[in-house]
Amino acid sequence: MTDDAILSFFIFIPLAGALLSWVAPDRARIQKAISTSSATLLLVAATVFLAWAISAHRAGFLLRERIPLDSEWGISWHLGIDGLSAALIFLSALVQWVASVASAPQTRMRAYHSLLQLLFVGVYGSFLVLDMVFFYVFWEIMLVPMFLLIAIWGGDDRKRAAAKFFLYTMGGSMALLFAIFLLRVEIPERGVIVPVRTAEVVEQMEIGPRGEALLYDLPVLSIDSLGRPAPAVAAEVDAGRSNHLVVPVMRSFDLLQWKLLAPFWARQSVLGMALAPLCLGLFFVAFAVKIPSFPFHAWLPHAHVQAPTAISVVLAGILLKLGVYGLLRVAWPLFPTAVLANAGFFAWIGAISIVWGGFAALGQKDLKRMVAYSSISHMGFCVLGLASATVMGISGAAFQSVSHGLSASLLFLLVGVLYDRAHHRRVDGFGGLVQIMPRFAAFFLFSAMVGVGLPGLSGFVGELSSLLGAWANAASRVAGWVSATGVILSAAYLLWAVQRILYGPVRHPEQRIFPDLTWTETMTLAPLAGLSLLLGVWPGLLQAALGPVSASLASHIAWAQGLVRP
Amino acid sequence: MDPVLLSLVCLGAPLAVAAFGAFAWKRVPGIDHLSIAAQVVGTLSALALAISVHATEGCSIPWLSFPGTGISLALGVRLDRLSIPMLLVVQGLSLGVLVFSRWYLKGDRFYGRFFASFSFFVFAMTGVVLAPGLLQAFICWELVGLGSYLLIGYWHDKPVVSEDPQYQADKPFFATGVIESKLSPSNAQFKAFVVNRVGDFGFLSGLALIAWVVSSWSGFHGGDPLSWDVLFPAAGAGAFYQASFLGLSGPGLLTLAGLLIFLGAMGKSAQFPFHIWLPDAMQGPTTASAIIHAATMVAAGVFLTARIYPVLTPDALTTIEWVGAVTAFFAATIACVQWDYKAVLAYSTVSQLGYMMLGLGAGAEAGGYGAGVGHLFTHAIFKCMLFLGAAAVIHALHGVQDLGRMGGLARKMPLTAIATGVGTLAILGVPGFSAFWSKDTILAAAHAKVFIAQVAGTGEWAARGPWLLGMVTAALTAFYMGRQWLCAFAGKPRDLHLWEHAHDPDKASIVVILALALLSLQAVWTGSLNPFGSGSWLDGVLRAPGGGILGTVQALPESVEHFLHVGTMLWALPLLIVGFASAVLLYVALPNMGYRTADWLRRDPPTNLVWRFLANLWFVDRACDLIFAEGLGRRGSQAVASADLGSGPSLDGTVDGAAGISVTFGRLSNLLQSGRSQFYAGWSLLALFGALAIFFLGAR
Repeated sequence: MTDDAILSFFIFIPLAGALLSWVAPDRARIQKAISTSSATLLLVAATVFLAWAISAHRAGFLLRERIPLDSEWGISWHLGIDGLSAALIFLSALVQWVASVASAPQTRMRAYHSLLQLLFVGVYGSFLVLDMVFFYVFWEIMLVPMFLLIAIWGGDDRKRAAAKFFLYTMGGSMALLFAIFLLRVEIPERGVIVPVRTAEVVEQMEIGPRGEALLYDLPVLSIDSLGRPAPAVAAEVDAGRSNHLVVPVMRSFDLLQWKLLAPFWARQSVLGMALAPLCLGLFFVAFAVKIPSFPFHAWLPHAHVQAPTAISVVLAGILLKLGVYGLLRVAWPLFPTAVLANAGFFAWIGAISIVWGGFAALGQKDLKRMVAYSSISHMGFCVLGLASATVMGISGAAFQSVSHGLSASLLFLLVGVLYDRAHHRRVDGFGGLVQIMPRFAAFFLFSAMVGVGLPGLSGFVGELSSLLGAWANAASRVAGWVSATGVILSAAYLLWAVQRILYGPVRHPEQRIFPDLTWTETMTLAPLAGLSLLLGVWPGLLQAALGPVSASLASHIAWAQGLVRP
Repeated sequence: MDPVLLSLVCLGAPLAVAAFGAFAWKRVPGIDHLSIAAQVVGTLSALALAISVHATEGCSIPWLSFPGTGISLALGVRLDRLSIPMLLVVQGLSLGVLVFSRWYLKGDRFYGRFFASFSFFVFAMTGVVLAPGLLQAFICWELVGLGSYLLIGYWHDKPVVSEDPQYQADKPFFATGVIESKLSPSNAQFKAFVVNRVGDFGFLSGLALIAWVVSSWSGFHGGDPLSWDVLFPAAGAGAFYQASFLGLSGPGLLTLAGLLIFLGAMGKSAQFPFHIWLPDAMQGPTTASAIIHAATMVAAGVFLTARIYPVLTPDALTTIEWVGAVTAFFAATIACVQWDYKAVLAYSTVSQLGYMMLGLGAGAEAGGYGAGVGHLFTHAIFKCMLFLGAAAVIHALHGVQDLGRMGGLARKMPLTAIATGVGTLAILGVPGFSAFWSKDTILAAAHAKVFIAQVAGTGEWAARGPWLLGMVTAALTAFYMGRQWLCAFAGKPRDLHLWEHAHDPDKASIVVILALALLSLQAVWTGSLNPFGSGSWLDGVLRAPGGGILGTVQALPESVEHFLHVGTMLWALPLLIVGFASAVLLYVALPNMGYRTADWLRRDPPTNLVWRFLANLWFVDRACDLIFAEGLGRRGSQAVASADLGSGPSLDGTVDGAAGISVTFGRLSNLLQSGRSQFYAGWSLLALFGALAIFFLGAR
């Protein structure tokens, strides 16, 4: 429990930016300046945090802040950053920066930039917050600006697309809300005493004023041979002398305390149904809509095709990652036994997303829709990796999230460039562009190769780790094998598009006047491409932040499984 | 100098050129010199390594670690008796091809880009060769694929050949088999990449399977489960008995793993039915084909199979042997009827790669390892030279590739004719030339396997089949290669206009192909003219590796081996003579009869059925196109796309309907369409707060 409110700035900077944009004059240059500077500020802060996470190389939270707001319900303003959230915060800030620079709304710039920043309030909030009430609030905060950004600044069929987006995600939110409610009322009023994993105490322990061990602000008790609990002393825990540890958990909405309740949830039932699978299912629906996973994905192609370029970038680059983050942070830690029991099911969901999304992408005539389906296919690797509940799988899912954030942003930006020149996006409506726009062609081929999962670029690392993880778990092995066909499909749809758009003779002579990438466009593409290359050549860099968190989650799952089903 | 450092030079020099060229090939005129300089350095380093390193050396650095599992995937280099000769071949041939390309591509519109892409390819190929484990092999394997992609699509602005007036004017009237509407550099590069990816799907799965089995093995104590140093001992110590998958365990599981990796090798090495990309890849510059689609990249599959030899089970080897034999035979039959100079070479490459796989599949006891690897090296050199010769011919004839319009070129380009002739004799397996030694060793190994099967009393015909196919292929090879050389260089010129302008390439290029011709002599490889004499410098290289499930390999007694070799020679030489003699007969001695025979073959039933079958490439290309490209690819994906988000009944519609979304949806969009977006925003916020309020009341 720290009182310094550094993390809150991630939420208040974009909020302040949103307000500033709202009151500032409705002029493109001013609005863009506000938006970009807020994003730059956040990017610098996020880079510092990511560097910290990489160098710290540990599973625990780097920083947590917690202000109890209501003791009766157990609501608190609780933020925390660890390797996983640091990586995703960094990606968010980068995407926000790119989106701010790439935004060119024709009308109502004030509202546009204000909403864009408001959207990121929700994004940073969701990645940082550790209290389920606020998690839900931030989750919803993302929804409304995104809906309006599509509905107002989108393409011809924007209203349909926006409504569809809203209804799907609202449906997911209902499930989320219901699950949170259900879990909260299941905690008995007097609280529960639960055993905890010693390694988790060592990783996450904070030391109280009297040298006692605190875990997520709760006192850790050590059970002696006679079964008498006594407050554990931090030094002893550290030295490994307290080996049977328990924690009393009270009623609250605290996510970390809910994680401690994992063995408790596994044994509860509600209305004759086991609680854990039920709530896991609800959470999965909520997050699968966001990822989006088969069969909850149909809103995505609509939304992408209609959204303006910068908004597509935000949608694919960040919003989809929130689904994976939700599974990683909420669903998987809370119900480890139910996850393992249904690993096969989740793995197949991932595999079907990969194959179905890949085939659907191959069959598209609209380039942007193809990229949208490729997102579904690529994000399937995240679900697959998570389903395996192994270190490789989990870190692979996290890595794939970051990598897809880069590759999808790149591709959507490039599709935006094409649309800007040609005012259409038909894959068949181009040809030989490499002769006309060589710089564009280089970036397009590069981005396609990131999507194809070419080794040496970031896409490969996530896919490889997910597949290794899927093979390591018997329940997800066959699904993992099927998923590997994704490497064929991604090469097929991406390189087919590359071939038709970039190569061959120039088929439309009127396209000869297309200007190559402008400096602004290059400026948005270059950092994304550079980062893809860096992470592909040196994945250990990001893995230093993601690995320990993934290992901790994997051992939490294995531990809970051993505890509940020995 | 430190050997590891030297090997890093071999990797780094071409990579530096490629990185430099990626940004600056248009502005920097000297990229060709730069890449040649890098290759000189690389070749010298490889030479130094070959002379100085006798033990296994290497290094590795962790690349991707998974905390808590002990798994730490690593990259690095490994120098041993397989990788060093291969490294020398790759670096040396690259140098030669680069020197040749300066002449061949002079004045080309993308001149600089060739050298940049080529250097990238050399870097990637070197990475495969030096790989200390399966992971790096896979990584560089894919990068090699990218290099090949870039080089095949070098003339990316060319249209498909059905719209290419030059191609339409040059092809003979009876040309068939090629799907013309789908043949262009950009189509070919796409096809090559995707077909290879199908193989890589197997490679990746096999890699994941092995990583799982080895890392969950009780004897695994951290490290890289995919490195040769961990994988082979683990397989030897029975790691595969501790795991089970799909009811397979122990040898069965190991067979599966081996065959999955071999699937990758089939893709790269163009084994039937994955060979379909290789003839199309001839759309790239001929000099690129010389190194990529003849000498090194396509041999990477053979190299990989040799690498994982210690974990290949007898069942896996038998499969490999059959795949190789079928490929060798199949491609040779097609090569007999090709009219395109390069296409003959392409199918001959496929056929020879099949030979190598056939040799490897014969198994270590039968001497198959040494046979396959030996042929890999000899073939790399003479096939590279044959392709450079093809480049010289095509350049001299201004792009004409039709054998029917050549003839008599020996008088105009004597040095090319000599070098190509040496290469042809080499590939035929004529005594005194390199493949006499290496191809006969393959056939002898296949024969030895028959004996071993007889002695063991198991599956004699499973072993006899590949041997017979290999024998027949030897005769076919003699025919089609003889036919090619005779049609091009011997006899009278059939197109005087073309013939008159033909000339040898410049001095540097001639030096390159003559040097390679010299290396195609048998004495270079065996140290003497006696093919069975021991004591050749290659002996150490060709000894099968121990370890893994192989243990120590028991070679056949020398007398038996001698008997096999002599027996093979007695079989193979007559077959060769028959094949070559029929080529001479048809195309030189009685050329009119040759054309009449060809006409008759093409025109009248029933032989025209045979011709049509062969000229249409056994209909494999068409079948693949129909089933995979058009069927599964186009129709299948469109079906999925419309099932997902179509106008009719689709997944999207079903979800809409089931959730009652469409009803709400209509109302929502009505609201929006009335332009009251602010109202709607307010509505949604209201809904949000309402939900929260209900939530808190409920919680209380």
